[in-house]
Amino acid sequence: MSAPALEARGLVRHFGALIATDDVSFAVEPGARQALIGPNGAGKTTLINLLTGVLTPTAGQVWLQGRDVTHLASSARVRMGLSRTFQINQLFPDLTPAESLALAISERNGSGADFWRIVGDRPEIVAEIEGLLTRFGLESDFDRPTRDLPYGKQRLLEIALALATRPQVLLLDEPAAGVPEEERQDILAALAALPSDVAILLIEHDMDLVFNFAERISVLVAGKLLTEGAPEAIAADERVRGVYLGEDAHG
Amino acid sequence: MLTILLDGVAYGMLLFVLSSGLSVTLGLMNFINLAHGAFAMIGGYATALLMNRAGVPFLATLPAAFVIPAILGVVLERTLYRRLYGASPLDQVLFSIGLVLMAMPIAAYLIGDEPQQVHLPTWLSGRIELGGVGIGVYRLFIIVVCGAIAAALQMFLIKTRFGAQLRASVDDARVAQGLGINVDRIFAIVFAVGSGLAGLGGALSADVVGGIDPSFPVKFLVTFLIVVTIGGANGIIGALIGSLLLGVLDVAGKYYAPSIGAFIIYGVMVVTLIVRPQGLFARGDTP
Amino acid sequence: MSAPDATETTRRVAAHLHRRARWRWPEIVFWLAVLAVIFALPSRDAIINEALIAGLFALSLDLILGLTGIVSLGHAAFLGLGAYSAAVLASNGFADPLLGLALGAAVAAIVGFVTAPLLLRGGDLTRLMVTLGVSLMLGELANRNGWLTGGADGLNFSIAPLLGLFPIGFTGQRNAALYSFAVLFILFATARRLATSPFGLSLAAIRENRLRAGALGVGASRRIVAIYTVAAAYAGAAGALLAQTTQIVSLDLFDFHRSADVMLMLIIGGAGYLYGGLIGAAAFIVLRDVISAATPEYWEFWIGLALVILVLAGRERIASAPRRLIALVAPRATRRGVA
Repeated sequence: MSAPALEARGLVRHFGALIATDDVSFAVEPGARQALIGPNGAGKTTLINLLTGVLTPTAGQVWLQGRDVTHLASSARVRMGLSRTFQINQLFPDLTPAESLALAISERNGSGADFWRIVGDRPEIVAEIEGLLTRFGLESDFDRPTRDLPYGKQRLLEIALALATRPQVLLLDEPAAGVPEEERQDILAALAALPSDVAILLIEHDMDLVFNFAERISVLVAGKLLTEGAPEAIAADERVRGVYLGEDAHG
Repeated sequence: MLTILLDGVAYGMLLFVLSSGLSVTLGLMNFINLAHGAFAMIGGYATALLMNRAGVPFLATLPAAFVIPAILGVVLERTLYRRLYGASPLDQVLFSIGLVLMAMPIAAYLIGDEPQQVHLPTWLSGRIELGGVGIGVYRLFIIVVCGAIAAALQMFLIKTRFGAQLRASVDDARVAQGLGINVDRIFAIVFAVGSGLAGLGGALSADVVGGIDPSFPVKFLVTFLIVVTIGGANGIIGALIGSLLLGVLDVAGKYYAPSIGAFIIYGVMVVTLIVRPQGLFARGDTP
Repeated sequence: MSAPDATETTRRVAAHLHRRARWRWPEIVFWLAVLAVIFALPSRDAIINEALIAGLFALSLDLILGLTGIVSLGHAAFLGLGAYSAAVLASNGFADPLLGLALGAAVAAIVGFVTAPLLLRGGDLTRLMVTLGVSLMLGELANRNGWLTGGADGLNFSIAPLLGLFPIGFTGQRNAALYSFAVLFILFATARRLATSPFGLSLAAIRENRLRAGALGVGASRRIVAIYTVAAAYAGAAGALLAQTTQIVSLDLFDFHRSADVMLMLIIGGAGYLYGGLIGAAAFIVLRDVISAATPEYWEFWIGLALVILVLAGRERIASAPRRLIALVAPRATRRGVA
């Protein structure tokens, strides 16, 4: 029996008197298509920050691929196969998509600290960049500074960058947030085309996206895990409806 | 040794009055104003020139030493400083350095390079004995006056409505504005008072430092920064403690270990920053 | 509409990533022009030498400020360390310039390496204060240890001819300029290579978005310590050159205004593309020469005014002017991404 790809064990996080994360335990299996939903302020992004190491937990543990990574730095967890995207794009404004991807790939294959080679020297890296650009529809924008790209393309780059690290676990923090209606399809298509051996935890408010994508849904309310289960069960759950009462379809 | 301690306290009080404006500007407006010393210089010059060229008695010059830099401060704040409130720390530093670099040659041009001396009135000269400890009368005067200023500032901050508004603005300027507090006006007033206090400090320190000359802002720039670093930018008490600590360390250091001298002070600053980099500038630092 | 061919895209991506690595003709023209000026104006070789050394100093700041986004108010510390190391070595009988150069760079690099961890915590304001504090401490140390540094009187020393053949002290000003040119060029070429490497790319990423860089596996702390050490070495080399070619060292090398000057040079020329420091240094030295001839005592005032105007008008907009001019000639040379 293999260990879960990613596991939270009794995670707690306080901000002063505020309990943002309240004894959360759940697991993401290898190859999973899992979603984390919950009303605004439930603590979803805090949880992601705890899992990735941006925040240290007040109590509890984070386990990655069967190893305790609770005290491991973010960049170390990335090297172990955990990647994430951010709710608000965290990109490199002055670098082009090609350069950004080159950075991610170089770091992954160990040549990130190489100070004598020239970026773009290695054909296998260039081929990989081309692959990612094409997969995310960025092949005609790769040489423009990221700041000049339209928002939807930036959002796609946001995902492409995370994928460039060839993660085994990928955390997507509201990938469709702020994306105009016309460009949402691209995001949906990109999500559907993610490799099947990567465990994916999706945080989203867009219920269409969630129910289209997820095989398992976890519900977070006020820092606590309310329930988990298959999409149909969650959709029928009275308590979940109650939590969302008064909120529109977009959460 | 007690004399040295008292001397250190006096110097520390002086530093407090001189740098309190800088602390508050940093804490309130997240603005690094390295030109702060220029306002001190102006105040010092005001006193020296009024005394030497117009025969005005020492005490009577002190209000002018406060008011003139205060007015200049308001003018500069309204015209120049406020454009840079959101700017990066580097921009603010470069801007205020630029101002200082302009102020010093202007002073040299208008007043000349020789230090302008402040000759204390006879009732402030000499030494007296307090409970067996000798202390200069002027040192005592400084401790009393600056202590009174510190107490008044603290009272003002805590007890008055303006003080409450000020503290609210420091905590969160946007929210304060949303509550109807005129944050703009508060900034202007605080800047004026800070500059005025610097000027007053400059005037009071003239005798202690051997006169006012055009290089005053740069000579004391580092000292101010160290006070703010050690004492933090979080209110009167912190600034007071930082100043006193620095004052005592500086005077004692120069007396007991002159070969190491200023090294101790710089070292303390660096160590403080290592130990508490976030806590010190919690409001203003963008990592 | 057919999608672009995969091999075509791959070729274009490779070309795009390589675009900065190749030396382009305007750069070659630039360096040849500098060399030409050294030979064409022999009477001005002293000031040309000064501009070359200032350019190296500004380049070293560009590596940390322009490329990596690390602010420093104390970069002059390394200038002083390099200068005094070379001077002390020479005054103790080891007058070979290359030895002094190496020692100056090494001493500065060691101090840079040791103090770099101080830059990692806290934000920009903390870094400004810490770097200022360190440079002041070093200046004070130099002041107090007159037995080594000569204190306020400075040191007397002579420099052996370079490679045994070319005198470079203040009697051999053209040789001095050529010596400085050679060192500058070699170090510049190395920096250029570094900037176009994966390491340099990661520094740019740290500058642009340290959070995301970390989220992609970049260990920012180690990279920052590494580049800070290199930058310190470069500044130390500049200091050694200064001491050797002018045969003067003074405590004001550690002064705050040196750190402010070099920052101004970098800002004038534009930070982040490596040529900005060189251009800014040249402009600064020339302007200072011209203005000081007219109003020697008030040079400071004009620097101050320049700073104030620069900041108020927006550093980026003004600093981009030289680059925009250059971009007219060579469009892709000046993108502030990786080099």
